[in-house]
Amino acid sequence: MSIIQVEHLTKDFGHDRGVFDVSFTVEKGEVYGFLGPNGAGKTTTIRHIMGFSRPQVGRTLVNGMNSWESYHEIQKTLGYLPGEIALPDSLTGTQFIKMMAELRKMTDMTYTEDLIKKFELEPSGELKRMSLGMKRKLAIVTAFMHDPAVLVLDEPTSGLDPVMQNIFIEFIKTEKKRGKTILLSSHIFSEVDATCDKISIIKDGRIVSSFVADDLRHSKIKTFKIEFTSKNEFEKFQKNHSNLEKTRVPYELASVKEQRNQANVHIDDANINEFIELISGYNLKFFSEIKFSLEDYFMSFYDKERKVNTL
Amino acid sequence: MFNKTIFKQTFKSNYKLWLIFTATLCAMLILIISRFDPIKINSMVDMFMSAFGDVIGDALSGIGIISLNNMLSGTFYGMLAIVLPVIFVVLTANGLIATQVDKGSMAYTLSTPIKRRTVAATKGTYLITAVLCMFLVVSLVGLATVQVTQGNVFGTAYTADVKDVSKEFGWDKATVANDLTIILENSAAVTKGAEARKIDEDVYRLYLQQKIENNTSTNQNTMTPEEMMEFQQKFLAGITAAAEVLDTNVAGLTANLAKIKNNALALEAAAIAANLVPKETLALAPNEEVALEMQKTAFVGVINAQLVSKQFMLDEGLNFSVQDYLTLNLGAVLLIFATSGIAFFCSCLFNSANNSLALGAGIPVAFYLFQMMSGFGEGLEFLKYFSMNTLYDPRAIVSGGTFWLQFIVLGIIGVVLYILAVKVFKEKDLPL
Repeated sequence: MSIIQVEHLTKDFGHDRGVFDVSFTVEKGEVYGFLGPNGAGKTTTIRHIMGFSRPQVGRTLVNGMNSWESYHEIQKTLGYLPGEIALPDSLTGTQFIKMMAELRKMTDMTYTEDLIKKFELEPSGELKRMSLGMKRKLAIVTAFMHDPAVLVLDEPTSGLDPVMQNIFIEFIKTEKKRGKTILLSSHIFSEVDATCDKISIIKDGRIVSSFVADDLRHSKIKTFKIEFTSKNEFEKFQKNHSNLEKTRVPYELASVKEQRNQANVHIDDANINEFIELISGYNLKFFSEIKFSLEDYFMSFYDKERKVNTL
Repeated sequence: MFNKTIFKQTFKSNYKLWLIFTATLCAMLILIISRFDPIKINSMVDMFMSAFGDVIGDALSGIGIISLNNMLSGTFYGMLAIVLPVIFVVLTANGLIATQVDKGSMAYTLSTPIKRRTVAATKGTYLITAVLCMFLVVSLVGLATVQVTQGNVFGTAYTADVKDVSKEFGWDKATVANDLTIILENSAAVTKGAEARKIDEDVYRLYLQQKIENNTSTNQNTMTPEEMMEFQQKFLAGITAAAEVLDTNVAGLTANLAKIKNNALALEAAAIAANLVPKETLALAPNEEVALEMQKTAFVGVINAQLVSKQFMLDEGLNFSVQDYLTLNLGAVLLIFATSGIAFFCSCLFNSANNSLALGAGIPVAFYLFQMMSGFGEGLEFLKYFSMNTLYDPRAIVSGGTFWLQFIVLGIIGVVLYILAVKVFKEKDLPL
């Protein structure tokens, strides 16, 4: 059974703001990345999963229960880390943790103590005097303290220092190994890349791409950059390319830079030997693979937009 | 529907505001009650009457004697006990829900298995409890202050003369109050007592005698209405004549009858004009001078009777009705409860703390202003139908008007608003 199901979720705030027909499912034990820039609709979607908002169209389910109707049941096995950290001012960190434990009817605090140690949290001070990073850590502890099976994390590492970010990413990985189901919304590629099994990219309230992260990491099509030693060689390559194009080429010419005598090519792993044979006939300055990253993939959706805008 | 943890946390972050407002209210109440002196305040009204009597005419005549209940209904329960608690409930209600939704800290409470209904109902319960406790404390402090400073919650009230005389001669107040002959038989005590009451000794003696005879009904009304009318007309004619002699106005002089007694010319003019002595009695007078003396004596007698009756009214003014006082508090609680319903509803309805505060405070303030303006004149009287505050009328409570129906309406308004508030919070989208 899918743990989190978002089905045709639509919430129109007007002026093209909101989320439109968003659908995805998170299976048990998966870490699901929800990637998009600020204002794309990540938090709106999460609000529906948490039962804070009522969908206009569609529905969201957690453990098969409707978020809007059974939000209080869902919360028993769910941990939520809000995107914006707004803690009640009048309490100290310790009082806040105690209050959350009481609201969740927790009695055993050993796991909570472990988390406090792991994240080097100093909860004794007043919340309003805490630094943003400390508040973040406190929010993380309260999201995980009841050891929930499902986690909804909205931009969890923003406000953490790089060391703490790494600790958090490692923590997510171990939680995943323990069988937790995690929905992680983010605009930081590294943390999504490092942790997620599946990824959806959301843009202007619509999902533009959903894919398995490993497919992207181990793509069979690779991109290489080639620079020729001279203008002559470069022109020879281009000329041969136009001739060969009529029959068959073992690569796809992606782009060229005339001034630098450079060309970018996409090559399928199956054709790599054929390509090396072909390219060995030229005088090359260098030949290197361009690592394809999630960031490039993500940016490609926005670059398209930018090109359309500039025309 | 109720969660102990949420209540505890709500209490912790809100009790300071409650303490500040409750302490301020209590301090004001203590000040007002302990400074209350029926003789002083009523002679102030008299002074006001003599100074502006002809300007305001009968406008003040409706006030009568100001009792402690009366005075509290006008000052404390007419204004302070409304304005301060309204500010308190508006601030508190806004902080309970709207601020937390606006800031986002509500997200933590709602990421636990607590129902929204329970969150709103628990916070509403805190607000209601805070209002009830505030007025409970204020009522008790008020009663205690009345007991300590005036001594009339339990047992007899001590009038100014009893207090002063007892102090002067080292007597026990209760003994003196129970047996006023102690004063009457001691001329020094009479002088002191008359001074305390700010009246002439002869009037004071008369007052004491009547009081000892337990003759509280000052007018032995054996006259028919026609005779009464005639008598009043005669008396008024006398005062008018005296006013001319003293070059003052009638209303002012009526408030200060002792002036006539102290001025021979005025008294003579008044006595002649009033002509109170029946013809048959007058016929017995051997000469004109004796007849005039008889007229004068009769007029002074009437003045004294009036002055004594005023003293009795002042004593009544000192009377304190615990029931009226508690009813004043009950009405104030109900009005504040209904007002807190408005503020709490706004807090549950709006996601922005500013909007919640604007309406949650705006509506109660508008109600207060409408009620105030409706008293300014006939043209603005219709405004009272646009104000919930009109339903709490402290004057009606102390002067025997109707108020129970209004109380019930206030209670219903409050209950309905709280129920709607919880419902609207349960159903709305939260930006968390």
